[in-house]
Amino acid sequence: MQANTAPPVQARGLVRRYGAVTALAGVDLDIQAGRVTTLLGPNGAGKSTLVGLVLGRLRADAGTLQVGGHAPGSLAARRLTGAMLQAAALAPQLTVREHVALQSGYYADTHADTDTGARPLADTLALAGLQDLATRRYGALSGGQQRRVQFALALCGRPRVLVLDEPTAGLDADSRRALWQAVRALADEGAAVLLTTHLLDEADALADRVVLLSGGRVVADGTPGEIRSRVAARSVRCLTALPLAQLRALPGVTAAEPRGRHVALRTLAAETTLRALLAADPSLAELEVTGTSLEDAVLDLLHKESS
Amino acid sequence: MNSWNLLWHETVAEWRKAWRQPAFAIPTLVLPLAFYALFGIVLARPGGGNAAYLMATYGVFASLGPALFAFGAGIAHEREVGQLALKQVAPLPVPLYLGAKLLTCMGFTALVIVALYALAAWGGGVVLPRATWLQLALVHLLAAVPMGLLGLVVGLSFGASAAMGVTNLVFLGLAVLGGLWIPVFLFPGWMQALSQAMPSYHLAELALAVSGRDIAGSALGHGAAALGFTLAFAAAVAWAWRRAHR
Repeated sequence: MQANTAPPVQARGLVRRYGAVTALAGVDLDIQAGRVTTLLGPNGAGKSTLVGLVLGRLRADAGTLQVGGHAPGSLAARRLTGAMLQAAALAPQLTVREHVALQSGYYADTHADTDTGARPLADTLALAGLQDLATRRYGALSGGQQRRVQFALALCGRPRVLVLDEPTAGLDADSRRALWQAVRALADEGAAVLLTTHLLDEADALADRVVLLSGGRVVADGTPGEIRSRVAARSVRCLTALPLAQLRALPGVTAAEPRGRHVALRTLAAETTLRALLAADPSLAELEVTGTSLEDAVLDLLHKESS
Repeated sequence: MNSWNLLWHETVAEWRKAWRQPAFAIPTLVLPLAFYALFGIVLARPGGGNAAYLMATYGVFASLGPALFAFGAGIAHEREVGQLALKQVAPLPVPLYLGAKLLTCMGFTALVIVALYALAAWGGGVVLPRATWLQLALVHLLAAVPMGLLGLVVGLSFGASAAMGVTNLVFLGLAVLGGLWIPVFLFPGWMQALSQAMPSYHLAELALAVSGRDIAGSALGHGAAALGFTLAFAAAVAWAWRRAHR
């Protein structure tokens, strides 16, 4: 689909300040076609600012940013972009079909090559799982259904750049999985997907690439597997009578926290820790040792960053 | 899809949005008609010429409701709930979005003035040559443009609840000081001076001139003033849009 090989979104040295607060402190980032790039990070890390810059809703204080070779927010860039915003609404008086048809019309005159332009209405409705809701008014839909209409508007123009800001917020488990599947299909079509989420299982299930932001900088960038492997630690869960302070003092342990009735330990040397643990507490039960989840890895990386 | 097609679809969508909120649309349509029926027909001296005079000024008044309330205060609401943000990131050229709003405004105005003319002709016994009716309709329809632009400036500059308050003030100012309800020549001198600063005054004088009345000043002068207001409001919309974007 892409004639040129330049990444659809290219950011270099992006800086954005709000008064004295620096939201982005020099970010370099390429968003590749055909891949799902997920922005992760705690609140205030700069995710929304980065999304706002890519969509042209904010101006950068320094650095350069291009969307399909155009200035972000320009009509040319908007024609290549589909977006789902975090806090958005559509006119409640119009039906789902009317909304999707109207938005599809915006993309219809991207004349350059035949492969672009809006997708057929029925396809858009099917991708967003809205076939049965087409004649309903937007205002009569549930929150999750409304979110799916917004998703339909983002994808109807076959965008080269698809920006999804917390797309699954407010969706139930089934809708979330259906949306993941649709996002995957859009990336396979060649779209460069930029997705923010605070759900790590979502990033793990969907992302080809995770970009971890903290304090306005990129602190980690790689596949979910690479991010996990950057943190060699393992997790140990068990039922134990030992106090947390004593657990934290065990060899190899970096953290110990209560998890309901259980205790969760993070260790850099699982075997040594376990030997010491079993020796110290003969009554220990329900022992479980697992590798690093993406969530553990992200928390570790963020912790390392702030200390 | 070319721009005209896009403008048409956007206008249809705007029209549906307005029309499917009857609680909003109906008062906008009914208020000028009810006022005219009361002051232009019921309370007027028969044969005093009030029906024809007030028809000219109420036609301008008819454009105020849709322009200021439905589309001015309406866009403030759309901005607040996040509807505008989605339009701003969508590949819809800004002039088409705002143009669709203005056209819808004119559509509503057209509905009211047609009903107003019918009321004046049958209820008020107003008789005008056919060409005059058409010229009057043109002035009344075009009045929706500066009024719609003014509504957008207010809607883009204030939050939803503040916009409602400001809109009410602007609405009353334009109606009263513009001489749409009471002829300006009955005002004391200082109020007449204020009237000069109202776009609605110049539009009303233009409508009166077209319907064959003697007016203060030349029709050309009032036309130039109306055009000046339109251009100033258009510039203000462009400025307010850029500010609302951030």
